[in-house]
Amino acid sequence: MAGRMTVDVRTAARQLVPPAIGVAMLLGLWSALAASGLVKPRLLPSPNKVWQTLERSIGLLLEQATPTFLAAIAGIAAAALLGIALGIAVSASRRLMQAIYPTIVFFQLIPKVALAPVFLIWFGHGMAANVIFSIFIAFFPVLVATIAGLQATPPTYERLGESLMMPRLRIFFGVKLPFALPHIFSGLRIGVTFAVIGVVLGEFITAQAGLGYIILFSANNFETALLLAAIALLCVVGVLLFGFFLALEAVVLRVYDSR
Amino acid sequence: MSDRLRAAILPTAFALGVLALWQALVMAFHYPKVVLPAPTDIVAALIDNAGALVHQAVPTMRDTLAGFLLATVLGVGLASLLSFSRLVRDAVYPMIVLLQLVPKIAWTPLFIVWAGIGWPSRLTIATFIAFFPIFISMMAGLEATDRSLVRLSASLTATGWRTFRLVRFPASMTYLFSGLKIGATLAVIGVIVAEFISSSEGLGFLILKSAALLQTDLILAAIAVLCLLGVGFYGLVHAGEAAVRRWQGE
Repeated sequence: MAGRMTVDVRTAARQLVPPAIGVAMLLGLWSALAASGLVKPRLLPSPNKVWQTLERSIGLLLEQATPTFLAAIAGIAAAALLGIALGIAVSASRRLMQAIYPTIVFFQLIPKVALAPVFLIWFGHGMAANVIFSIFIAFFPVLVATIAGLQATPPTYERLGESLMMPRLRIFFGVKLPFALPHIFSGLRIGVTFAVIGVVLGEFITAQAGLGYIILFSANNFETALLLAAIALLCVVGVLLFGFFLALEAVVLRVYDSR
Repeated sequence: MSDRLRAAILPTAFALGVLALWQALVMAFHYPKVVLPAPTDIVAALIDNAGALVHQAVPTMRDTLAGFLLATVLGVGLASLLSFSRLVRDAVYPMIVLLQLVPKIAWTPLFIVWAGIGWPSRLTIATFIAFFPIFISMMAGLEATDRSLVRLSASLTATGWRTFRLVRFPASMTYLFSGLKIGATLAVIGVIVAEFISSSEGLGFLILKSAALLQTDLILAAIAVLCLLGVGFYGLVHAGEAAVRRWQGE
């Protein structure tokens, strides 16, 4: 028991210490660079200055982070529902899949962010346009992953289910979905980062509210400390949403495993 | 109908069907051209503005290609360096994985503050966002190399460098190319967003300018050109992968 604990502590230390040193070295380098005067503070304020700005402007930043956060949640939630539902529908028929899949792949390849101005013409300059654009770009990775996942079931399992005369719905929930879930979650992980990008990009272009607006505004005014503070907060938003899906994946996969 | 023929005909029919439906809807309901131009309007805009479109596509493509190449050199280089030292790898790798999660497009204004509103900032952004998938997939490839092969070459007294050059590097090509494909699409996105934010040239600039003038047909024509470039670029990476495969004799 004691022996195992030391091993655990040792592996934990090996996993945590080098990255901590890496981060510390990066912060040290950044501080040194800012203090040396080689780089103008207007271009690169010290980490300390960024932290002070973050503390001073936290009220404003949180107020602007709220619409960004909510829009990204709405975006990924709708994109997940639509992507998974359409993925299941397309996978139901081989011909439907053959007809639609190349179009989906084409959309997956093209730079969809370029369509942002069109969405603003269609849906106005409010939060709704940002959410719809966010759904649009987060939707494709979820859809593609769902389709790939539903094809991942080994054919022998499906045939076994059929020869046991299981109804199609039970084959779907009992056999195909468990094989598809890891794929679907990997699509959701990509989708959630895309959803945040979609919202921020909309905020860049409409420039009315949100962290994207603060980032653009502080860049235009050379308030680099505020810019970095806003980016840091946006990273927190991104990691929080990503963490939520990671936790959801762990819970769902455990429930499916225990059955 | 043979299966291969069907696999070619069905998607074409679907795409043509969508275009026909779009055209019919616009003609039946007389949508204003600002809101939804018909496919024929877009083709007309494409032909009328062919000169301007090609002129603006050149800087976009130049910055994308340069950024992608730079990201490839940096990504492959850094991953290769890290594969030689476990300690450095453990220090740097988690940070890069964490950076992979944050929305990097949002950093674009920061690069514009740092590198100005000219092409250097667009090149930097394209490099920055294309770097991560390339680096991470190269890293994964180098780590996925068959252990017994590495041990075999060590027992044949191959130096670390020779093992790297003859065993680990060739073995990671499949991984690398999957990263390069993601990097290629991301490089285009980076350049376009940078052009949205601050530029007086490029397709992104043309799209935003046409949006301000409510020339939706020109926006969609510019996007069509962009799609063509994006798919062509992706095809180039794909062809590169096929060439490397053939060369490796698979």
